[in-house]
This record gives sequence, C-alpha cells and structure tokens, in this order.
Amino acid sequence: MNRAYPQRKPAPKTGAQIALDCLLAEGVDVVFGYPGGAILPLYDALPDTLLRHVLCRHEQGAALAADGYARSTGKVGVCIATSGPGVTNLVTGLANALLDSVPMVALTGQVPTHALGTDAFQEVDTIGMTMPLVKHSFLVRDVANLQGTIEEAFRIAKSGRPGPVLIDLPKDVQQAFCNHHNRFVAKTTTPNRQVTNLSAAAQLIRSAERPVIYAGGGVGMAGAVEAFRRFVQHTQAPCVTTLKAIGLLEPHAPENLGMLGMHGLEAANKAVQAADLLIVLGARFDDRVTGKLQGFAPKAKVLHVEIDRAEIGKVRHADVAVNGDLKPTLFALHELLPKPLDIAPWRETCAEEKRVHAWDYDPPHDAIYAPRLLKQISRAQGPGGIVSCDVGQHQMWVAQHCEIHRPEYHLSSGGLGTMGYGLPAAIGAQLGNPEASVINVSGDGSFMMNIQELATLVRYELGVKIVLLDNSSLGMVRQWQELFLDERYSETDLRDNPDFVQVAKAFGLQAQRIWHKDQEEAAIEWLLSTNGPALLHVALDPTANVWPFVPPGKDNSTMLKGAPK
Amino acid sequence: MNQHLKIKLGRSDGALVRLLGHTERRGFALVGVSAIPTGPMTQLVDLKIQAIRPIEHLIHQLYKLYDVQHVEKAQ
Repeated sequence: MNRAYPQRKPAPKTGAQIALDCLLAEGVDVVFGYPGGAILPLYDALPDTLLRHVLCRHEQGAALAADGYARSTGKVGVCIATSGPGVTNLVTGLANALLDSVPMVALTGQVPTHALGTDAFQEVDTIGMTMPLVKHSFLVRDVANLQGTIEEAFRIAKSGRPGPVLIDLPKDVQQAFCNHHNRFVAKTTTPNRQVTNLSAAAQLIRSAERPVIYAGGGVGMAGAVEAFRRFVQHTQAPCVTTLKAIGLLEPHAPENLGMLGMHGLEAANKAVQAADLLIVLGARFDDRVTGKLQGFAPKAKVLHVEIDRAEIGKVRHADVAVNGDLKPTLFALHELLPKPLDIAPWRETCAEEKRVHAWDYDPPHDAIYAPRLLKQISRAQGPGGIVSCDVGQHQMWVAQHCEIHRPEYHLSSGGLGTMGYGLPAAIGAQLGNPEASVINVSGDGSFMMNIQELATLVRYELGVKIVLLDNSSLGMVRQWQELFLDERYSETDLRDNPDFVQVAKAFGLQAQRIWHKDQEEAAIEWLLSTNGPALLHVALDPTANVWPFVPPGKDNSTMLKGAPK
Repeated sequence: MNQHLKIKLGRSDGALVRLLGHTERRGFALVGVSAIPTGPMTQLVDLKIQAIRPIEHLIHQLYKLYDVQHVEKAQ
C-alpha cells in the first residue's frame, strides 16, 4: 500500500543565497571580488557556500583575475563588486573581456530598488554606464527572476562569440526571500546568418598558388586548436597568427611563420603581402594587424571563416565567407582538400624567409637583452608554462620571443591594451591551474597600475613568478616619441620609480635585481626554483626599442628594423 | 544617405537605449526614432538613420544585441 506523505516545502532562500547556489550549479568554483555596502547580503551568505572567494585588492584586479582565470581554463570567470565606485573600478575589466571575447559574469551590488534614481549613496547607473562594454546586462528587480537571469547570463557569456555579462543586484533583491522562480523567457531568434559555402571555400583554397592561413583568437575560443592543427598539417599551408592566436601551432612547426602586424615577424608580414589567398580563421582584421588597410595583403582574395556574422566584411571584403563554428568547419574543409596542397614552391619561399629573418640573440653589448632573456626563461619554464604579460614593449617581446605551446598559455590584453592586466591575470591563471608554472612578464609602467595585487599573491600563497623589465620609462610611448615626435619625451620618464625589490619584499615576496648579461642564467634558475611568489627585477637599457616596427599609417611591407639614421 | 529600419525589440531594462547607443557608436547618425509597444514583452522601433557605411553592417551588429528579435529594411 502506498502511503502519501505530505511534501515539505523547502525553506525559502534569500536572493543572495539563490545567486550563490546558481553559481555553484553553473560549475563555478572560484570567484574574484571585493565587498562593499550594496553587495553585503551576498558576502554575508558567502561563507555558508562551497565557493572559493578570492579577495583582490581592487575591483579592477578582481575583474582582470577573472579574465585570466577564464582564458586559461576555458570556463566562465566570475567577479563581484559593490555599487558606485566598485562598479566604476570594474569597468576596465569588462571592456578588456569584451574586446578579447572572454566569457565572464560580473555580479554587482546596487542600491535598493526603491532608491534607484535618487542619487543614493554609492549609486551610479551601472546598466547605462557599462552598456557598450558588455555583451549583455541585466538589472534584477524581482527576486523571482534571479535564478533564470543568472542561468541566462552564463549561457550568453559562453555562447557564440563569448563576452562579459553583468547582473546588477539591488540590495533588497539580495535580501528578499523567495520560494518560487519565474520561468525565464530566453531569446529564441536565430541571427540572420549567411549560408555557409564550404565547397566554394575549398575551391578557393585549391586554386590558390600562394595561400596563407591568418589565424586569430577565435580558434582557441572555439575549442578548435586540435582541429586547426590537423588542418594545417593536412594542407601544409604557411600560417601567421595574431597576438591572441600565438600558441595555436607549436613554436617550431614548419608552417608557423609567427605573429603578423605592427610588431610582427618579417617572414609573417612578407608572406601575407605576397599571398594570393588569405584563409582567415577566427580573426577580424584589427588595425594593429593590417596597418594601412588598403595596402594589406594587396594581391590576396579572402576566405573568411567566422562565427560572428558582423565581422565578415566589416573591414575587408570576403570573396567567400563561412559564417559558423570553426571546429566543424575545419573538419569539413579538411575532408574537401588534398593532402598537402600543391604549393611546394610557395612553401619553400616562406621557409627561406623564415631562415633569413631568424632572430639574432647576440647583440654587441653586455647589457641585458630582453628578447634573449625572455627566450631563455620561456625555455626553462617548459612547454606547459603559462605566461601573462602587461602592455607595452615587453608585451611585444613576449609575443615575439617566448615559446608558447597553446593559446591559453599566453595571456595578453590584445584589444583593449590594458596596462596592469598581467599580475591579476596571472593570479586568475594560477588559481585555475594550480599545478602550472605561471610567469607574469611586466614593465615598470604597467606593474605600478595593479601593484596592490602583490598582496593577493601572498595572501593565497600563489607561486606566480614576476619578471619585471624596467627601463625607467613608458617604453612603448617613448619609442613612438623617439621615432615620430622628434624625440620630445613628454611625460614618459619614470626614473623616480620606487625600489621594486624593496616593494616586493615589503609585500612578502622574495626578490632579486639583475643588470648584466652574465647574471641572466643564475637569475632564471633562482626565479624558477624559488618556492612561492618571487620577483626578478631586470634593469634594461632605457633606450632599447622593439623591432621590427611597421610605422602607423604605413602598410606591412614598410618594416623598420632599427631607428632611422 | 538616409535609411529606415523596423526593429522588433524586447522591452527589458535599457533595451531601447542600448539599441540607439549601439547604432550611433557604429557610425550611423540617428535622424528619427519612434517606439510603440506591441505586447507586454515587445515593442516595434522605427529607426531613421543617416549612413555612410553599408546598412547591412549595422543590421548584423544589431542582431548581436540580446533584445533585438528582428530587423528589416523599410522602404
């Protein structure tokens, strides 16, 4: 006989508890944030969950750490901030994630719903302020909508071209009890996509005599690294990568010509300029890649494979466009093409350019040569190592000289160019990859922008190693002033920097300084064998520049290899 | 050159502002706009813009907005 038991209703939960439950249900294990008044209910509920909260020392640090976590793990990064200044501090991190297509969810506190629009304490129009900087945003006015909103936010952040989604949580919504959840009406319309045309794409590739694969960050974001490598091995077509796509191919793969663009490798830019077909995979013709647009790959037809329809034809006309997911597209194209393509003379031309323009790591001076140092560090770190960097000259040296083996091992702020990105990104990467070796390469300008996050490193005992390349100036800006502004060095002199070794030690890191090439080998050994976080302060020649360099407004056939005499 | 778009748009917080801001930021000047509710969750936006770039570029951009359900060129 069946006995009917009265069903006990679950105890109602607060909005704060529901939000945290939703994060756990989405598979989130670590969140980055900073508490404050309007987000207090959420923080009050936090200790009762299994979520790991990482207290950064500035909301920008929290957002950029979530970014580094997301890029290095492929998961959605989550950051939390309070209203008002908490959100304004978060803004740079949101923009950074948007421009580099990083999946992120930001939870922000807001004044209670009855106080919205009254200029209440720490009230800003979060939705209005962040609108151009997110993939989407929600203001939750009713706690019954909270669960559906968070589920939808994660779906949006991960789907299609990934990006940041913000959820603004008024304080009374966090405090309200709720035992029912409204069904969320999700967007169901399909974007107006162009029909893909794989046979036309294959025909274009087969008929090309000088094809070049131009691969961007979208390949890694699509989880298509293996498919991409198989496609390249199959076709054996020469390949150039954007900043965000470094690591798609093994550093010494014969097809890998390296990064293209403003500070790209000569072999890469020359191949693109001579190509009769660009096979564009998950890239968007960024101006730092193309230089003067009219002169970019002037002889080439374009095959553009891209998930974001709005990128196709936005900057450069596509002769054939395939609007869709890269992974199945690459598999399908693979089947339609001969192995290898019949382009042996072109392959040999590209290989010869690569040999002729190989780097010289032995300059005629005793100072530390950043390219050589980074090459050695990267080799000592090994193929599983993660490198994060900031923005400036050192960022380009990392891109040119570090041996990166997977795109998720290279964390670099490409679209926004956020100085101060590297240290918090390294924190996120280390938390997401506890067994990995994580190195942050920074410059003296960038490092000062989020130096407070040294405290986060020490608080959580993260073994991030910092290589601080110090040329006592804002080096990249100074380089432009030297080359294009008649050496008028306006506000780029940083000779009054603090003693970075002492600063690092004050935070609790181990730290050393080097200034001569004879110290390089021992310093690398010390850095990588030190337990816990450590900083290597590297004094560089303040006049050292990044070469090659395509001057602004010129096309990529105009590459400076040194300062004009 | 003036262009005219009819857009079916959701009625969530900020949907219209997001649409207008995105249109301007992508380089299309707003000449006229009207919005009429067509249901509890939807509205019809009539957008007149001045375009120096191909209007298709804007249409593709607008489809990326979460609240945009349909876009068509009007005569």
